[in-house]
Amino acid sequence: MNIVVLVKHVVDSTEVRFDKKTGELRLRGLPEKISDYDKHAIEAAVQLKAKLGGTVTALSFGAKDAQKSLKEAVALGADEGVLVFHGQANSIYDPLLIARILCRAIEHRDGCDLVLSGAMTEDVTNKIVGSAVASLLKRPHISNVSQFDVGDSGNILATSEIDGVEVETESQLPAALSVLRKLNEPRLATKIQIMKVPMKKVSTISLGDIGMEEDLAALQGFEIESYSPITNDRKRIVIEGGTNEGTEKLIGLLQEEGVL
Amino acid sequence: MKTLILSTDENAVRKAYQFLCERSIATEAKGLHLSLSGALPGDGYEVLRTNYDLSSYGLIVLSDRDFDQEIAGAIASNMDIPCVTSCSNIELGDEGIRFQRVVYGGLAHMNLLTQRTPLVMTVSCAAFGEGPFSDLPIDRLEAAGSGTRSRIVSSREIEKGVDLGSAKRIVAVGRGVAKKEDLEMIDQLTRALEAELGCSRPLSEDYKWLPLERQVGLTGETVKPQLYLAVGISGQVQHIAGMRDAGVVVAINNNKGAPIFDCCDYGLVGDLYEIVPRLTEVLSGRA
Repeated sequence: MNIVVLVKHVVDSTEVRFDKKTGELRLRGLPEKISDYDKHAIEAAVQLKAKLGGTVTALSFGAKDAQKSLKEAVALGADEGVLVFHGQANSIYDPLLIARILCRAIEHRDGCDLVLSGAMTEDVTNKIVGSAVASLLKRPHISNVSQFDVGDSGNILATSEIDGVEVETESQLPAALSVLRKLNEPRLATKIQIMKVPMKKVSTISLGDIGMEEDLAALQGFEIESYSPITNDRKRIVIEGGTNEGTEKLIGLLQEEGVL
Repeated sequence: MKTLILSTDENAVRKAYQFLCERSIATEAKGLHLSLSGALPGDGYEVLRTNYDLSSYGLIVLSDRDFDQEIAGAIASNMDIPCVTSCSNIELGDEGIRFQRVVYGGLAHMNLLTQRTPLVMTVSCAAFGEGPFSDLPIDRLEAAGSGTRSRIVSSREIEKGVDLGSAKRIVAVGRGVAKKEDLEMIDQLTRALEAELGCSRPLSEDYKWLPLERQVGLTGETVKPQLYLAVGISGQVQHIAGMRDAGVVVAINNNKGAPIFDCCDYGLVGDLYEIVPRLTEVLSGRA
């Protein structure tokens, strides 16, 4: 069984800040990682390969730095990483364009039996790349999978959590699944293990290689104009006076607010 | 602009219509409820495609419910048009259409511009108003049964032990609580306030002291109580994202530099092990 795992290389969202001087969102020079949900998809693929044999390919559309995540995916048990490279990949928003690129890349590699992806990307909260890839590949997609098993005959039994409903599905390979974090406990790779992954395990292809135009600006549906801070309009009153007095004051204020 | 408002949930059609009306978008709107009675979104899309002419719309709007987003992706990929998801705002201008969506764990809005139509948009359910919702005639399409390559075997509502989303008061705890046994002290305050108990991510995901359904934040519940009392919570943006719409926010924390003090109405700097029992005592005595 040949599995492709869609992997997004992201900056650590908890470290992102607006620059106090320029007011710009600072996205450079931050810790980088595999998007959390995708680690669970990699783990599922590696476990499935151990059971049924075959190959696991980690596939990413990204800039050069995404090679790090693909090396990590190999250290975690993928057979190889494939980067569809574009220098501006980190500065576009267009989930459907990304889905088209990933779909072309999968076809370029003569397809696969199963596509696994995280249910969402942690940086810009994209949730539809996985299902759009499935739609473009004309195969069933099962979203938000919390548990699944693939039988010898290629039938998939999955449990999903969708809009507050637990849904059990049966589907047939070739298929695509997007997974929740509760699916499994991903294994970890040490820095040394990642470093030891030979570069030849990660190949790089261009948009031209998969028959697409290199000019992303012409392809993308949206232009990111800016990022603006989400502000907290709160009173920010610090109550003085220690435990007893402070508590009394607080209760008085909350009564005035009418919330007690 | 000719707009189709489409959802697998009939109420979401009305809410999305209201959302668009408030922004003067839905001048030529049609509503469509695509009922998935036991069908998966892929099959739902097939029914939609064969029974409904989507080509005449400039804007196709859905909610960001899970099934809706899959339908959105199917429409956009089949019609080869762009799709923008989980929008919190939309604005028509001379330069094109602007969209706003929340990114980086609730830290920032991403502001997008496009001149391209037709396009598909999903609206964040968190951006929907409370109602009452204006009436819109809603067509109905039913996608019954199942496809040959995938089908739903069974489904059941996920029972929630607690519904933080509709709680009027919430006491939420974070890593300032030293050990699991101390949650009893928080429980007493929660009872005195007639509040529900919530928590930040470490307590549910890392320590597993509390179930996930009590987690407030980007990866947990989004809440809007009248009173939100954050006890020993530092105030990561991911947590703030879940309680941004709370009425009055109170923070108790021993670190006066904690970011939660920038996101609260009233802050008490001090030891929660002193303040919480005292607060419980006074509130209980008051009743």
